[in-house]
Amino acid sequence: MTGKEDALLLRYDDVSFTYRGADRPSVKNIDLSIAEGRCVLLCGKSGCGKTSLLRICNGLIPDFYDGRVTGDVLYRDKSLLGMSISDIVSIAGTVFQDPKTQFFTTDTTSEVAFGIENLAVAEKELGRIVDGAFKAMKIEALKSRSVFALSGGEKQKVAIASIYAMNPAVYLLDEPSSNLDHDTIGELARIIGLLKSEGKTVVVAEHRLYYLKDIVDEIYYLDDGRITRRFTKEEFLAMRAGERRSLGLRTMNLREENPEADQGEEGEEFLRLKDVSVFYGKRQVLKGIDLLTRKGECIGIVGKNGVGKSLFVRALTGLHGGCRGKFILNGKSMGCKERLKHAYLVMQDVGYQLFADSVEEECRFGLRGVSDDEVANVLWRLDLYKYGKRHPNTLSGGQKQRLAVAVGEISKKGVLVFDEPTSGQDYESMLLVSGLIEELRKKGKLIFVVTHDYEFICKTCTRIVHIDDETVKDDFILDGSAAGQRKLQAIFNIPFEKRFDYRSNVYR
Amino acid sequence: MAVALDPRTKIFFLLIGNLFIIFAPTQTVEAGFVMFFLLVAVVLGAAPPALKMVGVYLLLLFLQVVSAAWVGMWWGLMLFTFSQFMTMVLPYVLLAMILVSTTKVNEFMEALYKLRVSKKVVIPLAVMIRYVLVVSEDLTMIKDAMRMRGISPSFFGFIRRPLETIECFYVPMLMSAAKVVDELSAAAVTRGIENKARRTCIVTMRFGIVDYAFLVLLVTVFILEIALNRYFVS
Repeated sequence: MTGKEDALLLRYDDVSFTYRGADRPSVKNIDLSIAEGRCVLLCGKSGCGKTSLLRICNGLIPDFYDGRVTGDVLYRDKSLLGMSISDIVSIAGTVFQDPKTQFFTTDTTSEVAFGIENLAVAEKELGRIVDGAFKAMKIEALKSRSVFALSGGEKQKVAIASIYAMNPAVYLLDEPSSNLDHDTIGELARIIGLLKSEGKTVVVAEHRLYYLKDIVDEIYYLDDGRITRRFTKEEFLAMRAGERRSLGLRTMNLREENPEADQGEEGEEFLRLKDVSVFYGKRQVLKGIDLLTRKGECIGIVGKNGVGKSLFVRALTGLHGGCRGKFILNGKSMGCKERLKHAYLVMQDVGYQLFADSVEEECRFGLRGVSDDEVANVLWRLDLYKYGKRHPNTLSGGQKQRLAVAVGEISKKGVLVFDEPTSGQDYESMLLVSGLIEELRKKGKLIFVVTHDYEFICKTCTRIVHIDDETVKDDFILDGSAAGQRKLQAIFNIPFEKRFDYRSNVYR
Repeated sequence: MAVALDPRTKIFFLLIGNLFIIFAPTQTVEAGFVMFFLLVAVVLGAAPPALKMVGVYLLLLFLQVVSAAWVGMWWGLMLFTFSQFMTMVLPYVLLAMILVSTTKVNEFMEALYKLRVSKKVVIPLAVMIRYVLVVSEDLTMIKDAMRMRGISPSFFGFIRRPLETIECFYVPMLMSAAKVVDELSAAAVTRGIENKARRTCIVTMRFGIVDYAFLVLLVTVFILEIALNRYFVS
């Protein structure tokens, strides 16, 4: 490598940080050098400290998140820790996980202008810079649009453009793919590639790794606040799947994943949909849906964002009234209200469905005649018993999810729907959700999962319903056979290869 | 096409509109002002939400008048108190809604800076306005969650199980508010909202004839209201 390429841009020098009130440091003795123009990936389990590392660089630590920092972060030999956050703004720009909360204005042009307005760029320059940012990110079509009308992927692109307008030296991306579907993750990857090709330095903290395969240069693995492993891209790709999994990391190569959910015995016929159409207002979104389901199935609902997957499950659970056709359960046709009695939706953001001030109370909230034994029983099974007196909001994300499932169990719902249960989750949490669903399946529940997570589908789903062109485009069983796998790979645009054998680490 | 007013005019409208309601001598006058606000909302291009709100207002007003006859009964008293409280609050909510739904956040900030308001006031206000927009998304989710528990998120559901209904709204809202406001502020801070230099604005703002005319109208109405106040009281 030439000296120019190696120009050091950012250096963490023995950095440790403890949040105020925490008894353990979030990051410990971090030494990390990042050269100009590189794409660096920080990975590790949830809570390993990768977000804290980004926050130390962009100045949120210690200005916004209080705590004790030791060591120093140097940007071209200038100490970032000594600078005020408004000076760091032009050095490091940050893209966050949730587009909903990182946007400050309501239209895309103002949004991209927001940062440079704060930097007090002259008024006559603003328009030119904003246009330039839209152009450079190749998203001119998104100009002057309402941010509420954008898809998640489009929002992330606008967020990156707004940082681009400020022209920082380093781009910090904090789990930028968490809320995106498979296609838009591809677009995100393209934009990151574009930044890199312009010589920008990019640092990404992520759980999903596969989309960075062609962009990333170096990979750092954090464990409990320390950098314990360092890989080049080649080393990382050559790592055996077993080792990767023991590190709790997601796959870098989706082709290595095969459907592996246990089909089990064929359950009895359960919910049946007959010629169902779903409307949003007056617009027909879905039509002609026929579906026969069995107890014990886990049906993955897949399809692009905006095709009506969420609307479909809301109609299925009886939350959305605008539909025609029949939902038949046990030989009886059911209206919305009856469906609500049988079906339960576990939301992507479970916080919205927890209302009470203790875990035990939560299980009784709004329900009548629930016995203590029943509550104890369900909590025990879902590994929540010891948290019975805790406030639901103090639980971890996975525990909240299980609590929502507990409520579904206690209210005796036979159909459980999960909306994006693994968004932003690391490998281990994903396995836990998968295990939970398998358990529910074995008890004879019917499960629907709306998801974009290919790895999770492979581990969990026994059947796929692909929604596209306003209807069910495909409906197939996901067993060990190559046919199902091939169809699934086609939906996710994964080039088909023979099955990957972990024992010998080759495709066969 | 909606008329575009300078955000400064709209801020003034919000303030003086509040005074209109505070000094309104009778409820009829107050209802008259609400109709005037509705007209302004329609002209500014915020008709759909304003019409909805005024519809609810009129309904509650009606309920208040009707239930006044039954205050002897416990449920009559409850209805009366509830509708009276709501009709008192709604006009202010309507005013705030008109400002928030027709003004971009960056315009609003620019207007306040032009009025020489301190950064310490402007930034929290801007975050707050931005948060209000998130709330509407939150509400849809919470309503869904309530329905799955068999709690109806409607007006009648509220009458039937008031405490549970209120709890259902405020608990998840509070939890999400803490998180959302934190994230919003962090994102704004990393984009230089705290920068000491006076920020610029991509939208050019000019005080036009319409603005002056509207201001004169508002002040005249207010003077008339104060001047005629005693005629109503006596």
